[in-house]
This record gives sequence, C-alpha cells and structure tokens, in this order.
Amino acid sequence: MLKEINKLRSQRGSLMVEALAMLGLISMVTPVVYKKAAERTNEMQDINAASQVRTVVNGIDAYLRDNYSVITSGGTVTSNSASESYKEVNYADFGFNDSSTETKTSAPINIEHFRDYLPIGFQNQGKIFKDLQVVIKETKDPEGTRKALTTILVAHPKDGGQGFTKIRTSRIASMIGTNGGYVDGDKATGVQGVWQIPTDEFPDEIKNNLKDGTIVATSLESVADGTGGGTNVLYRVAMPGREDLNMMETTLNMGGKNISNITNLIADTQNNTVNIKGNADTETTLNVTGDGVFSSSLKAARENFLAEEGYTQIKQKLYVGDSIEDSSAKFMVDGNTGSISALGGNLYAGYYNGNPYLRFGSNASPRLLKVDESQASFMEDKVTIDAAGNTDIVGDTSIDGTLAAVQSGGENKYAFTTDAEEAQFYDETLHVLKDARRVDIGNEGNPANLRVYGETILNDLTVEQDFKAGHVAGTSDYGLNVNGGTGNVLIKKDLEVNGSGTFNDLFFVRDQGGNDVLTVNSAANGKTYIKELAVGNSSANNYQGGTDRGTHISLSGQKTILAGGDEFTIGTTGGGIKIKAEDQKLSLGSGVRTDQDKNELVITSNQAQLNSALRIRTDDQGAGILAINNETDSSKFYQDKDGYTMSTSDYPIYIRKGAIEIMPNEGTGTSSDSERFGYIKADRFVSNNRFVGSGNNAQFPDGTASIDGNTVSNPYTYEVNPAYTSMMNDIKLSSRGGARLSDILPDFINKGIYVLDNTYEGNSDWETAQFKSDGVLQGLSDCSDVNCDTSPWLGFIPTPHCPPNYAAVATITPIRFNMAQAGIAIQGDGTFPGGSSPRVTIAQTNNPKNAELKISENGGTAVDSYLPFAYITDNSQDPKNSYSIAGSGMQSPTYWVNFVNHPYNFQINTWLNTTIKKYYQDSKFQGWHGIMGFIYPAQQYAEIQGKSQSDYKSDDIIWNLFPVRPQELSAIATIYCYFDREQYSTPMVDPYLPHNAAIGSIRYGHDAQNSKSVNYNDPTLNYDNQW
Amino acid sequence: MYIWVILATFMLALYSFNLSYRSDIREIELEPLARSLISKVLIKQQAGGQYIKAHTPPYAKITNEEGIPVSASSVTYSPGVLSIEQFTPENGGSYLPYGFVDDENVITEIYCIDEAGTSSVPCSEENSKPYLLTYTVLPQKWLSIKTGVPSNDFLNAMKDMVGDDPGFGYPICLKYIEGDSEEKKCDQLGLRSRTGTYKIGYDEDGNSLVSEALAFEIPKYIANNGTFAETCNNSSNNDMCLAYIYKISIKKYTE
Repeated sequence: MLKEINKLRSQRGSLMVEALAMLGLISMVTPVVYKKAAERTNEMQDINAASQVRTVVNGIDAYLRDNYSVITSGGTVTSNSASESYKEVNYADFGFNDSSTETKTSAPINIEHFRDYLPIGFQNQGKIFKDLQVVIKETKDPEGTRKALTTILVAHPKDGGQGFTKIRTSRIASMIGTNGGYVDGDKATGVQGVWQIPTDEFPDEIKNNLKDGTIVATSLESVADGTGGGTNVLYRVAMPGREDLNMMETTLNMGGKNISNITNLIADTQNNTVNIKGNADTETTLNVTGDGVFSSSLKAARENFLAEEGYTQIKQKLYVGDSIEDSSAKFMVDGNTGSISALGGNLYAGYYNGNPYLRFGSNASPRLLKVDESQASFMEDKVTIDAAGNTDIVGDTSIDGTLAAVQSGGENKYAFTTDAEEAQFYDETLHVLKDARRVDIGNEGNPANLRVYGETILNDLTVEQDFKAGHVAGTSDYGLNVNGGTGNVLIKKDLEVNGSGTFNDLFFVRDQGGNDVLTVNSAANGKTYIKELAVGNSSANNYQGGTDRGTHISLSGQKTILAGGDEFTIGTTGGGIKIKAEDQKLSLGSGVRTDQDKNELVITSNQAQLNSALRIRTDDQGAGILAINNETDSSKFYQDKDGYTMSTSDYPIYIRKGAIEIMPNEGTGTSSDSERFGYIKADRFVSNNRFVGSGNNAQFPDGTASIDGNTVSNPYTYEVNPAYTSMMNDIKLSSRGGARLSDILPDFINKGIYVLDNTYEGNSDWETAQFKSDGVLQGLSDCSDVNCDTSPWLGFIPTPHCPPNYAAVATITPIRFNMAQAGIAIQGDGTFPGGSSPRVTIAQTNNPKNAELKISENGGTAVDSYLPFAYITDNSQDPKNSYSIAGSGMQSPTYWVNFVNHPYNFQINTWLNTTIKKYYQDSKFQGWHGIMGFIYPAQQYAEIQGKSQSDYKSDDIIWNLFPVRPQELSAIATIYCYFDREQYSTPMVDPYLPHNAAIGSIRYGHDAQNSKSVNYNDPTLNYDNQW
Repeated sequence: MYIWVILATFMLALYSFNLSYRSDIREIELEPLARSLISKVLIKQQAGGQYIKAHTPPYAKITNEEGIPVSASSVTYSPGVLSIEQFTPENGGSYLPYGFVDDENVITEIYCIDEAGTSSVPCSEENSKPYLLTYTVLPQKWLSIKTGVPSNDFLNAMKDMVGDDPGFGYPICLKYIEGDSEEKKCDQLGLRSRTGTYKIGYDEDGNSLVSEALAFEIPKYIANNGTFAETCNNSSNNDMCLAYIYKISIKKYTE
C-alpha cells in the first residue's frame, strides 16, 4: 500500500497536464460549438421560415380556388378579416374572355387581404421576412379557353437579405418544397430549377425591390378547376353553408363497383325522376332482391303494365302460368283483341273471322262447341246451325217420331212431314211413297211441276207426252223438242254428237233459207250432195259460205289430202291436165314435174308461161335469188335481195330485147362487191355475132375460118379479155378529151439505135453480096491498121420486129466525117477500084510554113511520080505546067521546076453521102446495109482512074474514090416501126391473131360485098375517113 | 479519469449538433428535393392530360379546306413525344404552369396501341387504346443501394404527392419469361409505387381487402418499344425510372 502511495506521490502534476490538455481541447472545440449552435439556430429558423411561406402559399391557393370564378370574371373579392385598406381587391384585368393567350398580372396584393385563409394570429412582419407581397398571374391554355391562376409570393428578408447566403436561401426554398425559390440575379428560380420567373415579369413595385436572397414561392399547380368557387374534392361530411362541396358536378363513374348501404335514392328536384338505364341505347335490368314497394304508380314494360291506385292495367297480353304461347297458356287475356284463352288453349273466347265466338277445343278446329255470330257448331262441326237457323247434320239422324218442318212464320203449315210410310213435301205437292217406291209430284187432279235447278241423274226416263230440254234464255224455246204425238225431234240449236249417229234414210242439211247444203241419200244409187266442203278443224271460215268461195275444197288444220296407196291423181272427167302424185314426185300433165331427189322443178314443155311474176328464193322465207316480173314486152329480172320488192319503176337487172340493164350503184358506200350494184363479173366478153366474111375470110359452119390459108377458130367481132388480149376497134379516152387511142398512139415506134462507122476494108457490092458468118459482107474484112482503105459499107442494120400493119423503117444520120481535104495528089497504094491506075491520094501538109517552091536545074528522068512540075524549054517561053507520068519515059526538060508541097492544088472528099440499102434473104426482109462515104461522079473522075468517060454512065457514082481511113466516118442508124395509116393490108396482119379474120371483116365492113369499110369509122364522128 | 469522461461527454455533445433536433429532418430537407423531381413528372403528366383533353372532341379542332377551324370528329393527337412546342405553342398559352421550366430529362409521350397491346395504331382509330406516359430517370442518390429501387425518402415523397395511384411509380418486372437462359427477359413490366401488402379496397360486403401491392401492368408495346423501353426497360443499364401513366378512356367528352 505504501508502495502504491509512493507511486502515487511520484505522479505529481499529471492531473495538471490532463486538465491543461482538456482545456486546450475545449478551447479549440468551443468555436466549433458556437458555430454548430448557430447553425442549429439557423436551421430552426429556416425550417420555420419555410413553414411560414408554405402556409401562406397554401392559404393563397385556397383563396384562388374559392374565388376563381370571381377573379377570372374580373370581379372584386372582398376579404372578411382584412383591414379596410386591404379588404377588396379588384381583378378587372382578368375579366376578358377573348381567345387571347396573353398572361395577365395583377398589381401587388398585400398579404393582409388573404387573412381569411391564413392561420389566426398570422404576422406579416416576422423575424425573417417582412412585407409579404402577392402577385396573381392569370394564364391561358393555347386554345385561350382555360384560365389558370398562379400565385407568386414574394417574401423580402427582414435584414434586406444580408444574412441570407445563397446556400441558406436555397435551403429555405428547398424546405418550402417545389414551390419554393429565390431571387438570383435577374430571375427567381425554383428548387432544382423546376420553375423560373424573370424579375421583369414582376410588377414594378416588386421588381425594383427584388434583391438576391429574396424568397419567392409560387403555387406551382395552378388553380384552374373552375368549379364555381368550390374545391374539386367531394366532401364526405356535411358542409353546412357549403352544400356544393357535397355535390358532384360530373358523372360519377363507379367503374363497375357497387354502391352499398343506400337508404334512399332521391330523384332530382327538377325532374323528380330516377332513371335506371344502361350505356347509350342499351337496356338495363333492375333486380330487386326483396320487397319492392311503390307508393304511387308502377309502370313497366314501356308502360304496357300500369299499376295505379285503383286499377292495374296490362295493355298487351296477360299470361298466367309458365307458357306465353296462346295455344298453351294456362290463362291468357289479350289486351289488344280482348280474347281469352284458358285451359291450355282448350277454352277460347275471341273473334273468329271477325265474329265473336266461343270455342271449346284444343285447336282451331273446334271439337265440342264453337259458337260465333254466324253459326254454332257442335261435335267437330258435325252439327252446325247458322244464324238463319239452318241446320247441317253430318252423319245419320234417326227420329223415332214424326219429323215435321213448319213453314216460316210458324203457320200450321207443313213444309215437310214424314212418318214411316210417307213423306209429304210442300203441302202434298211431292209425295214419296215408301211401299210404292215412287215419288209423285202432284196428283191426277192436282198436277204439280217439278223443277230441278241442278243436275238430275236418272237411271231411266220415260216421257209420255212432250219432252223439252235446253231452254233458250230469253225465249220460250227449247233446244230439244220431242213431240209426244208425232215423235219428231226438233233441235233448234247446235247438235253435237260425241258418239256415232245413224240415219237410216235421208240426211238433209239446209241453210237458213231452207236450201239444201248437204244431202245424203242412203238409198241405192243415192248420192251425197255437198254444196261446199271444208275439211279440217271447224272454224267460221271453213263452213261459212261466201261469194268468193265457189266450189272448192279448203283445207285447214292438217292441210293435207292423203290418198290411199302410192299414187293420187286429180283430174277432170272430161280429160285435160291431170295432177298426179307418185314416187315422191308431182307431175302436172306431161310437161311439168317435180324431182324431189334433186329438189327441183322440171319443165319439159316448150315453154312455161307466167302471167305475172316468178320468184326464186333461197328458202321459203329467204331472200329472193331471182325474180322475174313479166311486163308487157319485156321481162325484168330482179335480184330480190333482202326482200327487195318488185316494181316497175326500179329493178336491179333489166333484161329486155337485146339489152341488159343493171341497176347503178347508188346509195352504197361499201367497197365489198357483194354489197355493191351495177357491175358484171366475167372472165371475158365476146361479141355475140361471129365473123362473116367471104372468100378467104369465109366462116365455116363449125365456127372456124380460114385466113389466107390459116385456120382460126371461134372468131368474134370483138373480145374483151383482161387476162390476156382484148380486141376491139378503138377506144375513146374521156380522160384525154375524147381522143381515140388510135389517134394518140405514136405512128413511129423506136425499136433501136445503132452506131455505124467505117472499119471494113476491101471491095464488096452490097447490092449483091452475101454475108459471111461473121456478119460482114463478103469481100470485106476488118481493117488491120489505121491506114487501111475503108469501104463505104459501115455495117448491117437489122430490121425491127413490128406489130401487124407496122412497117419497118430505118434512118441513118452521119455524125462524124472527114471534111474535104486539099493537097497535092500523090500516088497512093493500090489501084482505083475497077481499074488499074494507081490510086491517087492527097499529100497533106500539116504546116503551111513548110511549103516551098523549089527550082531545080537538073535534067534527067522526070520524077517518077505524079508530082506536078513546071518547065520551060528556053528562056523565052513561059513556064508550062505539067506533071510527070510514071513510066512514061518522058525526059525532063532542061529547066523544070518541081512544085513540091504545093498547097491546095487538089481537093477530095467533098460529097458525103449516107444511105441505107434493103437486104432480103430468102425473100424475107432482114434489114438494111448502112452505107456512108464520099461519092464522085464517075464520068468526071474517069480519067484519074485511067479510064475514059465513056466507061461510065452519066449517073454512075464512085464511092470513096480516094482512100478513106478507118474511123473517119461514123453514123447513127435508128430503126422504127411505122404505122402507115393509109397503107395496111391483110398481109400485114399478124396471122397468129385469132381474130385476124374478124379484123378484116370489121375493116372491110360487115357487108361482104363492100370492099371499103363503112362500119369501121365511128358513127358519132360523122365522117367516113377512118382517120 | 473523470476528465476523459468529461471530454467524451463534450465530444458527444459536439457530435449531437450534427443531429437535427427534429426527427423528421429528413422529411423536411430531403423529401422536398424528391418532391421537386416528382413535381416535374406530375406537372408534365397533368399538362399532357390537358393537351389530350384539348385534342379530344368536342374540343379538338381541325382546319377545313377554307382554312376555318372546325370541330374534329375524332381525336387529333398522335403517338409520340410531346415537345415543349406542343406544351407551349409559339402563338401563346401553355398547358404548363406559369414559370415551369421544362426539363429535357422528363419525357411525356403518347402511345396509341391496339387491343392486344402489341402494335401502334393511329390514335384516331376507333379501337385504339391511348396512353399518356411521363417518365424520367431517377438519380442514383434516390435509389437504395441494396435493392436498387427508390429509397424510402423518395417513396415517402411519392406517397405524399400522389398517393396510391397505381399508374405512378417505378417500373419493375412482374413476370419473367421462363427459360434456362441466365439473363432473364421480362415478360410483363409494371409500375409499382411501394412493395408489401396493404389494404387497397373493399369487397362487395364491405370487408376490406388485403392483398399484395398492385402494379400497373404496362402494355407490352410500351414496355418494349421506344425510348421508354430503351431507358427504363433495358437490362443493359441500371437506370431506374420514375413514371406516371394514364390510360385515356375518354375519346369524346360530353358537353
């Protein structure tokens, strides 16, 4: 223990240290405490401030809800508790009900005005806030119809906001709730930015004093219920003075749930009616489980059931029981008809056929009793008694006593009485005697008549006196009269016998005049006379006579007269034509018969005469193929197409003596041949008269003719054959102004053009020479070079093949020839034709400059050529001209001059001739020779040839006296076929033409005796000359 | 020793200053913040309701050929998100309260679906079922860490502001598609405001009914299509939404 005390003593000052440490801690923490305490104080203040603001805003919202309609209509709200200064607030600006969506702002309202809705003792001036101001905003929805009122409460801090940091302000605002906010800069912002109001939207009085830190609260859920001042909450408890808070202002939808514990369901005061109905037009059901008490009227089933005080009415049917069928209901009363049905339909009282009746029975057919106004029936209508007292009894009725029927009126007069022995009717008029099994009508002393209005069926009828039957109405006659005395039977009207009738003697039928129309005499050799017999169905026309009937047989009905056997002949006793039918044929006399096999009528007589028209149809009703209307002096053939009516004025085809007229194509626009008129189809047309000629042109009976020994057949005077060759005299063309084809056809027909030139050399007489195989005249051959001496024979021009009566014509026209040459004659090659003198030619100079006159002084042999030269024998003589002659041996003079290249001292080729010469071969004309060259009078140029003039005649000519070189001459030959209008004859006619004989007959006239054609010309031209 | 006791007492006293003297401090401080978020949803939903009413006969208007507004015979709203221009047209007026600031995170959308709830149809069709849905994503601070659903504070705010409206709450899957897949796919999405059992009504005899908390069954077309499905019914993200849905049953108001 001492140890411990000593230990303790050694710890001196530890407490001091601890105390100091604690004090240090306390000193450090104390400011924190103060801070915390201050924060706690602020927290409490903030909570209180928020509560205050929240309370005020809720109160103002309540004010708006209660005064919504007044405010939105622009009225004035009066506060009950506010001081006079703030008692009334006028909201005139809010009263416009236009569709404008402009936001309206009220003037700042002092909080004192809302004292009715603020807690009792509320102080405007508090510790934190002062001068609470309220602004009401009125907004509209976009449609401009629904007004919403929003409260804006502005709570100014009492210290001007100096003690309000932003954090504190926002905390206060957040404590207020979503409504809370604060002013920050130029706007008032709600908690977490839920709402924001620019300070410019505040009234100026407030805007100018808004500082940061000012608390602003809004009624975020604006008031817009328009409930007429009440809240939108239905109060469950009674609200004296505010009964509207217990009132629904719209339909309460129970959502399928129940309303229970209802004591009374009270109707509205206006209608005083409670309706229970389904949605829209559907019906609903009212189920009452338990008692239902209706103090007044009860109406049901659309007022078909009425229960009023004093009566109950069912307008339609009342069914008692489980069946609602009239026929099976236990009890039914029909309110419409008044009928009653009971006992399951076995008892029915109602109307039947409009009459009331009572029925005991289960169906419409009464079984026991049916009584109505018209009749009473018992036992399934076995017994009926009608309203007149008539009684019908079906079945047997037995009466043991007397059955008496008393006449009407109750008189003691029996209409009927019967007993076991006799029945008397109608005052003994009719007796029915049982034992006698007889019915007496009347008696001998008191006859009576029996009149039966219906049928009377008698097994046997015996009439002792007259018998009449068939009373004719309106008369006293009877159709059948049997005279009891004579036994004659007179039938005044028609007699119809369905069975057979036998007349043992005569049978007469007389007309109304008493004349016999039918007499049948059954005696031997008796005859039957029938004035007029009509066979067939009975009709008025058949047996009624007439003046147009005469004696004939008319058939109706079957329209057939059949004879037994295979043939039937109708004829007269005096002979004459008989009509015979046999073997499916009908023959009329010997000239007309039908051929059913061929379905044709055959007329074998010489002629068939129709006095009127003959019509041939395709069938019985078809269109006519041919109709012949025989008119005076003519027959008109009609193509009766589509029921075309024959008439004398128009006809499709009119054939008369020697002429056929065809209806023109008028009124048809179709191009189909089958529907057009006015045309004839044929392969060819020929004349109907044959050629009649004489001599070589005679026609033979067989139709052939001989023309110059050629036999031709079937010559016609004209023929139109479009497929081949038509032959006619001439054709006048209206398109050419009436010109005849023969006039406008050319007389010259060009058949060819040939070019000829001189390319052959040699000598040949084209008059007599023949052709070689190469087509060149004998004696001629092709030039071998350009210097050959050509023949004037240029070539052969073949003849054209011309139509009959066309002549072959050729023309030749020079187109190239060597012009006349002048020069010095020199010796050429060869000799002159037909002679021995050397051929002379012309030495030509191509350049006149080279011409010279040369004097030679040289004696000796003369130039061995035909060069002219001049010489002089001495100086005193004039020069003489001469020329040397070759071979003459003439000595040249002493002085001589050679004229060398003397120009233009001789001229040749000056007379060009072009001609053609005929050529025949085997007496057949083949063509022409084409001749072209230069001719010279033979006598004049005899000397140069070394001949004398006497060697030639005066008209002889020499061709190409001087050489003509190849290609120096050229000509064009044209060949034609020429129709000589005045020169044509039979030999020119094509012998192969079948109608050549006819042509001759035409041209030379029909009259064989005349050699000149008188029928050849066109009679309308009025001239004889054929051209 | 007593000094330490005093010190401890003092420290506790200090700590007590952190505690509010009001037990309902959470209700005073937190719930208003929750209410502000809820208010946005409520206000937009109510404004959407006003919009739909204004486009329902006889209030709905169309312009005829002459350019004259005439009453429409059928509804004139159509499916889709309601834009701020539809709430507050340029020509003035607004379905939103005065001063309300539209939050883009709060989406109001109209759906018109067929009888089966599987496809969208024009709202003017006779058999269309219109729905008005407003939803927003809840910030994480309002969600319970353990359950992922809104915290009690938020739920209390929901209850205070809306109450037991079955069309208001947070989406939760009521029924999953049965299968072996680990990733469960929701077959039926519903809106729930609270869990647990509670009295929700009375039977026809007047007895109270106690049953499980009801949920508003969201039509499948709404749950599986559109931004709502992407935002609030997407298993790939953990967003929790707050939604308010109306089934619009009135297609024509009686005057």
